[in-house]
Amino acid sequence: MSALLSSLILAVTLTAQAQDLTCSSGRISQVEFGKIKVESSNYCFNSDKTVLLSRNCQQKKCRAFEDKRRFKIGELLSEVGKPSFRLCRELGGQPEIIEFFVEDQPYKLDRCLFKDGSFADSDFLLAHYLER
Amino acid sequence: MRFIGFLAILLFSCADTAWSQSASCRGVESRIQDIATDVKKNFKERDVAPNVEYIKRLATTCKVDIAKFGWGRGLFDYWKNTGYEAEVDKAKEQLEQYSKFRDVSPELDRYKKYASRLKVNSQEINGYYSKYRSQGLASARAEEKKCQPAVDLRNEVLGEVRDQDSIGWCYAFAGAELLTYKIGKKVSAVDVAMNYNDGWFNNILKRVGWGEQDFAGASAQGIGTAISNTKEKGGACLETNLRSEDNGYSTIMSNLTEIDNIKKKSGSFQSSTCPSAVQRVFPSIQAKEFMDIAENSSRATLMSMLSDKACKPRIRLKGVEVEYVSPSFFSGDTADVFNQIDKQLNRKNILAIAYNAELLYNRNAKKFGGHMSNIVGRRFNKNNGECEYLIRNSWGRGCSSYDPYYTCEAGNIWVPKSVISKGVANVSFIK
Repeated sequence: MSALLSSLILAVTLTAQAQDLTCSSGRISQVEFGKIKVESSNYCFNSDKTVLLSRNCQQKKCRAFEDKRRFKIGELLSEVGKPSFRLCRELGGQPEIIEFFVEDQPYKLDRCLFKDGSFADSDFLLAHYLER
Repeated sequence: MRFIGFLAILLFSCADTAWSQSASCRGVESRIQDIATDVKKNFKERDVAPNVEYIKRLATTCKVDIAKFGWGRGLFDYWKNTGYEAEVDKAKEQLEQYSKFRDVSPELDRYKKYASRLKVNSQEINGYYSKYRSQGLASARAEEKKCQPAVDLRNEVLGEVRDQDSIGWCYAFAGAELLTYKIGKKVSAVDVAMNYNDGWFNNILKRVGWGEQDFAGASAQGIGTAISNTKEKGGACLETNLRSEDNGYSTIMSNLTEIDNIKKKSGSFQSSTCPSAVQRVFPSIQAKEFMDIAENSSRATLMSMLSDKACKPRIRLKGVEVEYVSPSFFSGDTADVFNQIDKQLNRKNILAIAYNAELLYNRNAKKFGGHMSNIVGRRFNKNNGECEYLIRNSWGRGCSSYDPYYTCEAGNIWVPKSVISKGVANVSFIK
């Protein structure tokens, strides 16, 4: 009975999370060698476009969220730039500054790209892995 | 019929209870040990009573003898009381700090709850409570007055927050924003950083196996040095001429290293194509121009000559001077710092702030040092009764990971004065 109740709560939570994000096909661009490089991609984003996840990361079931470790902010805050990029590298990802498009409007953000092609913006990743 | 239905429900719920009890006792010893591990890790830092009670409940329900874990009878109370003491200490520390700026009812309630659990006498609790309650309320009234009018200096020239990437050049980004706001044109942060690290070009020749961290970071007064060096170099370089953020798969520092290595390895340049690292950092420089500069420079002057070429024409910074204010060296008092912040915001000038970035993630963090950003606004937040300053960070637009107590707007964070006052090293501004 209690297991059933837990599953129900989890399902409701996931639905609520999913409702916060909009998913679509679109473009991601970044500057490489001084030129703009564009790729097509499937991704999900929040209303103010400060969260970006590859579609397969929507439920956090992708390479980006597989690591079991948790990090204290002090471990990531050295003099080396922004902590979420450091986290991204710790997790084996590649941090990139990018723009993603929603209805032809560009939104500047970053992403932590993993070898399997999944990605999440580095701040969302930090929120997940941060031990508060 | 109704009776049969009642009987069926009773039977079902009894069976369910028995089933769930046997199921919940499966592997109970390792579960108890897991929870105890968490308790042992945290009981000196915070209240662990819920977990301790859970262990007790599991042990009772599943008839586990706790002696087999080597635990004595008084251990549970020791864990709980130590946790309560930690909570009282924390609450007291926060009350000391926050009552100077705002109503501290939540902290007082926490103090009262844990002090009562520790059986501190009620007279002492009530005396402490009323002292900080009245102090907090008086501060809140004064702060609301001081926090007027609301100011928000974000504008189109500043644009969206920048992203300093993986390099510890926050001072350059904060400095570039001061210049950008002053001259009304977007200034290159990389150029400000290069000017601060002018000795960098010489240092690089002496080092083997160096990393970004050797050149990252600046003294608390780094912004003044960086802006002063930029001024001496002929002025500010525009972001359109020397990009600070768009370095594709590389970081700016790895690109600079690559350029230095090219020069180190080749006495002369035969190729007619511009090396990729040069294209990344200096997109406006053509292959022919790069060849000319490379041929006519030494390793010590190559980078400087490239940036000079890319930055033409520089914007002169006549009369630009940076001023600093720090907390009192002896008492740590921050009144002068906030007076200056308010004065500058009132005259519609932005500032840079050197502070402890850990506070962005945890408003109760204690450590000191480390980061620089800009202050571009002020408001009184009626929801939490706090005067807040708008910290314009240089870590991109993300807002997911900052302390949820703060309001974050695409990388701009409203941080209460009560928090900033704990971690500020200095503020600087262009006079």
